Amino acid sequence: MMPMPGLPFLGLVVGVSLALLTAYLFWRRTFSFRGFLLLEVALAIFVAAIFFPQLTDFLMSRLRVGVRGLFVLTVGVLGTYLLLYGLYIAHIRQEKMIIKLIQEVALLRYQIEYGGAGHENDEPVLKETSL
Amino acid sequence: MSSKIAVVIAVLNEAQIIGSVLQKMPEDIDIIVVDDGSTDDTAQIATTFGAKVVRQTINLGQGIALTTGFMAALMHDYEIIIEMDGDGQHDPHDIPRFVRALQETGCDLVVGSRRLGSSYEGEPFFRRQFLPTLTSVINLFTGYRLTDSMCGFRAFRASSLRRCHSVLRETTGRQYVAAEWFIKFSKAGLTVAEIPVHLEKRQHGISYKGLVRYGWGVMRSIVRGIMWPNV
Repeated sequence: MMPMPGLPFLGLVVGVSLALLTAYLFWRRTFSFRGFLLLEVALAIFVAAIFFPQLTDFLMSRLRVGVRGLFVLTVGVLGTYLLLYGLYIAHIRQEKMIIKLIQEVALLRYQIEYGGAGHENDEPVLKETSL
Repeated sequence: MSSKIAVVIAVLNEAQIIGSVLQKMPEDIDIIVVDDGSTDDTAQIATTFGAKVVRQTINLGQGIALTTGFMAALMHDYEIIIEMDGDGQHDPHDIPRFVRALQETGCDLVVGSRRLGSSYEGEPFFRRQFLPTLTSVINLFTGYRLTDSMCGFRAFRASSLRRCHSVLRETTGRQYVAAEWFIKFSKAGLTVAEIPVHLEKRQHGISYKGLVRYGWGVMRSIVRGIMWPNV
């Protein structure tokens, strides 16, 4: 029977996997640089806390939390929420970009076909996007 | 182009009915049909009836389609832009009444009201309870005194719509954008009047609006409107 992997090993695998995932999402422009940096720092603290339990104890004492399980659970839930919220915001932003792109294409085709003075205010619809 | 009035119609797979709707249109107006990713011949039929067609290649929802239509209309020098449904429920013969109301009241926007019209009693029970409630919520946030905020038959003064171009530009709600628009328009200081309209029964196609989905969508739309900064 294979021995159970230790907590540090599991923590390292989870931490590195999540770091790779956030790096991939950053590369795909799903996350902004700020969001990417925030998540990477959080993951670094997570991995450090696994390898150095003293760090967890130190943080617990600073926050006056007595139960280690509760502390870890709270941090885990908060971290997961941050990641999911970041993904949700990124999804909304991408959806908006796609909508604006389709609108812009439709309006350009319309303008070519039927004329017209162009967009009002002379602002491109895709002002803040970078496709 | 001589017409000063444009009608914007957002459609999705209305090939069976769009022809008869366009046929009833008054002669001296331009028609802009926004094809919201139809998979049937809606766009081709609209073109044969003389409408200008804006083609959205993917279905984005009625809210986005209407926004695109308004933006297309604002490329021209129309004075009045009218929004109506393409499913045959709105009567194009009402268009002159909307134009007259805009001219007589001097308001920025004239809205059709089913509650003031003769067809409201024929509406399903839940809808009859639901619409006034939602309208009351919208009145609360806008200060308007509307009786039916959800009717898609409206007339805009083009200059007012042009003033609120940022409202159109920032609209990304796919459906039920009326609530959001009313709240934003009220923040921009637009004035509103109502006239009664009569709705025909849908002859072809299906409605994509379920009551729960509708309510949820409108509530989200209200939140988007409230979050919008004052203009």
